[in-house]
Amino acid sequence: MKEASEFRAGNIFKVGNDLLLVLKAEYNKGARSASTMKLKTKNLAVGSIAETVYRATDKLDEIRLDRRKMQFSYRNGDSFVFMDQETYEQLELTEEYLGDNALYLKEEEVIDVLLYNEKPISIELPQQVELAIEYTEPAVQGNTGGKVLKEAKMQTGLITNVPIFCHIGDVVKIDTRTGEYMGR
Amino acid sequence: MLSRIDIFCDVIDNFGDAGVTYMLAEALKSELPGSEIRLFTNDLNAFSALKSRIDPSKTVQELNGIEFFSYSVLTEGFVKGYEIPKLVIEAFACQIPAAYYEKALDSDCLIINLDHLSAELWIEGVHLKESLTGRKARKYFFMPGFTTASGGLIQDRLLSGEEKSEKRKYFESRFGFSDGGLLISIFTYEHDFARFFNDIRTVGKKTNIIVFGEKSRNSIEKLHVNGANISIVYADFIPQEDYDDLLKVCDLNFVRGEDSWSRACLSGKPFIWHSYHQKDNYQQVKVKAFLEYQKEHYVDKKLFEQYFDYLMNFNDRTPGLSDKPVLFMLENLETFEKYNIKSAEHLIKNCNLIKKLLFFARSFDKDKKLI
Repeated sequence: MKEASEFRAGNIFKVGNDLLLVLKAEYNKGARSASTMKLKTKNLAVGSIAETVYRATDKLDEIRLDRRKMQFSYRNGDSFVFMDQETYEQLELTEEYLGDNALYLKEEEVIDVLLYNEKPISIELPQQVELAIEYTEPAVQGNTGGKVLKEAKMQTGLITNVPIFCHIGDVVKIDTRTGEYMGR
Repeated sequence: MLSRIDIFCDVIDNFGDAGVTYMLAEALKSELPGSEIRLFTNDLNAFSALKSRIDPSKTVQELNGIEFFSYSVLTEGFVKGYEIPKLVIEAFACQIPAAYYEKALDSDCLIINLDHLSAELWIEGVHLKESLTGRKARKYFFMPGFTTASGGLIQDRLLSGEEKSEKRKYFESRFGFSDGGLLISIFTYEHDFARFFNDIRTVGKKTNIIVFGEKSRNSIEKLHVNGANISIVYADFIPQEDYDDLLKVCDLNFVRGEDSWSRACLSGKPFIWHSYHQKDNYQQVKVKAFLEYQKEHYVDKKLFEQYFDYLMNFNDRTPGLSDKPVLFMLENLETFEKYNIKSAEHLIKNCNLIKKLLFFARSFDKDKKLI
């Protein structure tokens, strides 16, 4: 059993007879200790997508999955193609299964692909990834303090806030759990 | 369906948990007079402090049509023979004792996780979302808040001018203030009030202050501010309905936590909210969200900015920080009252927690395929 607050996109848990793949996990701090986790999930049996909410401290039945190290080769429309670097076998995952994880995937990155009954159903990201800034507004002169943030679009399509001193082309570290900027 | 409702309340600290939960039980009883409302709690002492007729030594008792149960009655034997009602409420997202909860999960009931009041916008995305149990019972999150898309607040009503005048006279007499002047209530956590009293002296009006609770008392008593123009009474807790009325007649209220804050929001009177202290000063996020809600009711934006800065600073628990001047508020209490009446009217009209809760419970009964 694992606390709801520890669940991330790509994790799977069991509720009754249903296996739910987490597509998006949103933590919200409440008053005192009553924080909540909102999970967007995909029911692996029927394919339905829904949102469910738990207290951050609720215990959920996590399902452990088989994993294979694979390289993200390329994106083909909605499909993300991964390749086993030893056998050259290719596996595909659609955006629907990847959820928010798709926003952190760079080509040639080696990551864990998660399998259930030998079928790929998700990936597991490292806690942080390095992404290049594809677009952001230039800094306003005289306003370059480290605490001032501006919006930036990363090479993967992720939109997040970065310090005002960041420029297009800079490579920044992003926390894959929160999507927040961690440093350069 | 709603012939019986069980409410659970873990009293964690002070009296806010008990106060809000009692208010919830009372409001449900008033809306559903024919229903049995049962309130289970880990601490009857807290309820006794608010309602003196509650005897903390009795594990089961009834007051004003509400049945009170101590958690200690929830033995496996008791729960085995107990019929779970169709609606079970976990007040303040509390943990229902295991024996009861396990039985509830296997029964055909609706469990409502009634959370804390917040003005943060994320609550709208969580409000009325299902928390999958995988069992027979269905559980939903219910998020009290200040918008129509939230769960709202347990309601109160504004007093007419005549009622205000009558009740104000009553409270002035009750607390021994015979010569008029500003009337202020203070119920906060520990805080340095030196700047506030300095500004009260600057205003120069006769000021009568009622201080509740040990934390406020300890913060103020050491300042030795009683004088020609300032009269302070350190009062024992008064019955909840009296306190709610007092908030509606004071010229300014300092309130704290959630219970008195929610009442102050509905009082139509100027108030300073002292939020519950959270790790890393996180209460500031909650205060800021509330101010964002209040903003639309304040026509004078400059005055609002001053209020914003004052309240954020008042709730900043960084050691060594002093209050900002509050003269802008003391000199504009009527304007603040005008804006706060507008805000209270909005809440009374659009954000009735009991009506929203019962509407949801009844809809759920008719059609369990809500999601």
